[in-house]
Amino acid sequence: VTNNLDDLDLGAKLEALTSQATALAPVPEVAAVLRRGRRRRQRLTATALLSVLLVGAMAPGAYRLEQRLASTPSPTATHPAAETPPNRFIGWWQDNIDASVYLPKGVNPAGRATVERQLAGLPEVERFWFESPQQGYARFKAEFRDVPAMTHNVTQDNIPAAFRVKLRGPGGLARLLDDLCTPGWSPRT
Amino acid sequence: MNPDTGAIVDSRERQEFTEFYHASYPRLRRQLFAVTGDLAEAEDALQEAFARASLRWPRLREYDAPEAWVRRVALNLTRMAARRLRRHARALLRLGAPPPTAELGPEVVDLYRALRALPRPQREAIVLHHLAQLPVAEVATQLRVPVGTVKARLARGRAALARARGPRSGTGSAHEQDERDNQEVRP
Repeated sequence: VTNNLDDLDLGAKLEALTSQATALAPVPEVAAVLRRGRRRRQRLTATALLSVLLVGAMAPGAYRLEQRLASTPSPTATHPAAETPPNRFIGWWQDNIDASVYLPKGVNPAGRATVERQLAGLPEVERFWFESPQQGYARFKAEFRDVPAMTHNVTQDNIPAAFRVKLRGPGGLARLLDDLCTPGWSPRT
Repeated sequence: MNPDTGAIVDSRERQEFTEFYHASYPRLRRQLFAVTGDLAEAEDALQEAFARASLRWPRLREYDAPEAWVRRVALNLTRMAARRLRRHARALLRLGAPPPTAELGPEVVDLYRALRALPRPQREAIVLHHLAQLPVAEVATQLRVPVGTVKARLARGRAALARARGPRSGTGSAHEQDERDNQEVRP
């Protein structure tokens, strides 16, 4: 069998084939791709948070936090860790943070203040505090310093600024979602 | 804080991403189609890859060739069989019926069948070298295999394509190949 298909011919043939095959399909709007990216990011955030909680729940003894808490300044003056040092990270997390409101990257001070005012006005919120990406990243690194797989794969860019929220009473989360999920911005817990 | 901006906050970066998208989408789509043989699958993987690119555009834009990054991600996506099935189901739900079928002319339909009959590694090498027009060394870098491997894949792939398109008096195996592939030609 003779090779009657030289390189130039093959390239041209491939061009012809693929041009014909894609000729009828329009190029989607870039907005559709950006929407898809946003959905993807929301999924990732939810998955990351879920896995953090799962890891904590499955190995409750794994994260001893006494010393770490002692060396980390408390986010607020009313931090109960001051009176009752918790034994375990997951216990501390469960006792102190019911929900996290992540802020989009590059949020301006006005946007942040809006969320802050909103949270301050909600009856179901017992207390909350702001955590900058720097603080969040430092805490993340401390919490997972024994798990290099986590710390190696996460950079400060991956940690959004957030309000950590402690809620009052049962059903607080549902009410918080109702109250915060107004059109115009998208809180995630 | 505008929820409609995705990861790209800066409007100049957004403009830049849009330009990059429009410049490279048609080209990458043709390359992905040549590798997968299925337009819906190629588009789905490509859009997913662009979505991921949009999330890290501020860093990607510094790369020499962001297009190569998108292509690699899209190729990886099409490589995983399980994901392919899941994406296929999602694409069916989202897009409804398959996209309009382009009629392939007689001069290319043989090549289409022969291409689909190639093993995937050979198809990738052929597409990157002959359609994306990357030098052999660059193909090796992007596929993360030695240069010699790329050359061997190119030689085998070209030989198989030439055989399939060969003289009409051709070999029995090429005809059997044609019959096996005759069942469905849906780009």
